[in-house]
Amino acid sequence: MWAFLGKRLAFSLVSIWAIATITFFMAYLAPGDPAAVRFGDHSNPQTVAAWKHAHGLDMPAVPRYVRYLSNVCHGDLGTSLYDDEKISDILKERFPVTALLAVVSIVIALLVGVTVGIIAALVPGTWLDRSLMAFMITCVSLPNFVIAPLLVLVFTLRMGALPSSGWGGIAYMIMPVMVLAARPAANIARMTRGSLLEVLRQEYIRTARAKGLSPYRIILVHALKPALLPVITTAGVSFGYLLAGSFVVENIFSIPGVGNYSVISFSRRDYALIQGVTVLLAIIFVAINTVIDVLYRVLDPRARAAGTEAGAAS
Amino acid sequence: MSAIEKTSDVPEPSVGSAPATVAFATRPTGVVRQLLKHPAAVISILVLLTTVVLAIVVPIISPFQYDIPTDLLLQKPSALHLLGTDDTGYDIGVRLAVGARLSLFVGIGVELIVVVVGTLVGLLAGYYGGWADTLLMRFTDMMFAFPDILLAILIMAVRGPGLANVFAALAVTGWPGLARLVRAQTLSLRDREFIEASRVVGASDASIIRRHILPNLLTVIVVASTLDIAGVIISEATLSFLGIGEQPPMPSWGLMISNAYESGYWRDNPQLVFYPAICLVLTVLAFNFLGDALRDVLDPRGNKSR
Repeated sequence: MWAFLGKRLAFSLVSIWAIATITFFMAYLAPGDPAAVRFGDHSNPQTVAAWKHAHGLDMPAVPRYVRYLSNVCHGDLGTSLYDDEKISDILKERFPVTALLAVVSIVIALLVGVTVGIIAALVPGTWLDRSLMAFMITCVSLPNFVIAPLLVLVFTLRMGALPSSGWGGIAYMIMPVMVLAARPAANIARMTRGSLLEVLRQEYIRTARAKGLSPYRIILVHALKPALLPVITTAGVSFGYLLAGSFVVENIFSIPGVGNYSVISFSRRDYALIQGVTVLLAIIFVAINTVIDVLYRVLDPRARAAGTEAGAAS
Repeated sequence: MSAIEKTSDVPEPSVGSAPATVAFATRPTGVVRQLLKHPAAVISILVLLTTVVLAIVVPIISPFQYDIPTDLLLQKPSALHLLGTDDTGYDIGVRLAVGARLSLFVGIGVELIVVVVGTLVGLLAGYYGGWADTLLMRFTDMMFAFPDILLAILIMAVRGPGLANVFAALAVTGWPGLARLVRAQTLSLRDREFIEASRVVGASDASIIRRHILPNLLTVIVVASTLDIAGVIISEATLSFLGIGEQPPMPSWGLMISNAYESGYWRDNPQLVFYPAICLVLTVLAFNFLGDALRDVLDPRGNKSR
């Protein structure tokens, strides 16, 4: 277990390092001069030189890279090319909004997805199962920016029930959460169904059935826990995509989170900010998946056993 | 696929069940015949054929150009403008058709790059193993530790918008997935008896790969790349929607949706958003269902619940 934990943590750290490196060199090799983004094409060369020096942009690649890495380790993601504001300050102010949306969405997605998955697995092959699964495949194929206008059309333009943009209070969260949760809920439902049906084929379930337990009791008490293990992994991966999906959703609903600010930064060509957002989201994504992998190990007796065997063999 | 599998050092099991020894013993004509018995596949193929035909024909026969606005703004559908005009005066029908050209071009073009690179890398890693394999697996592990749309967004933000950069961004983020799949499949084929047999009779690596491994990879590659095309088309539309993909007046479906939505004209003319949305969703669904059907037909013993 400890060996696994150490290996997993080392891998996570290397991943984060790799992501920081990739983002650094992509920005370093970016076409055009960052000073042109900051000051426009016709600017005082002295001002530009002073600004470049202040931000270390006149340094050669390797020292700049080392400085960048050490800054990232200290939580400093650089400054915006647009207004010199510290990127970590911008994110500190806006990330809580994005995180709140993402957490609420993943909780809703889990509740809906697992419920639908169980219902479908209780009646496999029936019209109910088929139509639920067809609906879920459709949900996976619908991009965020197609679901959102549909919801706005129904809830704002036709019913006048919900605000179509802005932030503050639960009413503003309902539609964004529905949009964000749709895809993960669909994935979780498909995963729950598949994994539950797989577990129901196991011998101990046959034993339980032979003992005369009711099918509902078998599913809810004996089959659900092992079946939900792979679902946790799906939820973890979905969570990362949810954070990335906030770009579109926050933009559509004018929500003052990280995603919306990034979209504004695209038109300002402020790639330093995008770089900072990418590193932040990647660190969170890696951290969540690390926690989930460890949880999986702790919860799944088979994975634990496999781990000891592999440990003994090597 | 679980993150556990990705990080373990144990060679991964092949995807689904063990592949049929000669998966492509089913001849292409047989595959087509079986596909035609599959209702979802038939509908998908019809949708895709219709899309291709409209994409080619409409811009040729229409009196309007996709980038030259008319004087009539926000027209309802009429005999002249079959799907009406938008808030700039563009004919929507022509723009949807050119948008279809773009989507299919990007979807299929990017996927071709992904297939070539992914197959090459996965094949070499799986067949030869060793440090090349370790390097590839570590690298793809890294890529998987990162939501690919985020990487695509970063690439577009740094390189700037435009079709060439869309291609680059989506190809760079797409190939690792296929490489892993091909590697796993190659690994499971490499030590099979019929490969050993050809090695014993003196076949070279090149000839074993060409005559035995590649044909057996075809099934996996065809299914995965059909499903991938759907993902690429959505990613392209997303980048364009965010304003970092193709630029106006290119009528990418994603861009048409964001223009209509952000200008607010869609409130009184919902078709401005929903025509391109319907085109996008139908195309994506068609590729998804076709991919699923191909898996059912080509790999009948495969795990269908995945």
